[in-house]
Amino acid sequence: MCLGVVGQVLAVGAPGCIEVDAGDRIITASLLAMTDAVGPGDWVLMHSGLVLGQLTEEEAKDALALRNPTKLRNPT
Amino acid sequence: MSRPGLASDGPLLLARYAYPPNELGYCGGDDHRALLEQTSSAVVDGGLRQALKAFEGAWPYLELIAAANGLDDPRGALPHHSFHVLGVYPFVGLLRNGVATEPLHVLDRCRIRWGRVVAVTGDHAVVQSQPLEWDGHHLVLGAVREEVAVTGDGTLHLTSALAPGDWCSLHWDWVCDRLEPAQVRALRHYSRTQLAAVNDAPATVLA
Repeated sequence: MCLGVVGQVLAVGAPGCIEVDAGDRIITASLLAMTDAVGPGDWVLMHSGLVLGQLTEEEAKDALALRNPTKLRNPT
Repeated sequence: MSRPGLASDGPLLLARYAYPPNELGYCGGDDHRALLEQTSSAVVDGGLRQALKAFEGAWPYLELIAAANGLDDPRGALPHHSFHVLGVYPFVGLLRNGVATEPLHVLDRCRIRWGRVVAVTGDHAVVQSQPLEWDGHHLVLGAVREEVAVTGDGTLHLTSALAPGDWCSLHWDWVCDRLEPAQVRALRHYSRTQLAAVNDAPATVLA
């Protein structure tokens, strides 16, 4: 069982998809389950290739710090 | 280091099923090739044990189950993945909210499914299996159909050689193991039990 992955949107890619910086890898994720628009710089929660929700920067960094501090590349 | 046997079944079993989502980048460490090589070699050593600890969702879950059952090594714990996929993940809730295609795909591929091998060619097998279907209200097992699954990458495999007529388990795109008929019956039973529980659950539970 996989946990949700927190990442920051790098770019809008193919239709309905985004490229996300997930710390140790770049993930392409689908926006099909999202009703709100997301764009570069936004933080998102993903699971199994789907974006499930948008996070505030504070929420994302809290989650990353809790899960694995090394995944937070550029803490500010 | 140990060869496969009773003491090492747990780590190899976990590795066989953990590799497919790791290859897709959904969980585990970032060196999926190394995990495939370790699993294919069927040698349980420190490298494989460390790679399995990188599954930060599965690992604490197995620790909890192992502790509850008095096991020293979490890799010997035997959870039923369909509970987690169907009852814990948010995808059934998405189905009920009208987002059908992608959540159904995740539910179908992420559960451990069973199938019967029809043909084997190179790194792929044609397998007869039943896909999950959503009728707008319930998740059900659909009619048997053929799908093409991955059995290996060159010389690397998750399971021993397959032959037409074999029963097998599948996770995401891969054949993970060869199953005995009793194992197929158990997987079918527990999958159906979990489907019934999910289908009967109030919308608020899985929304």
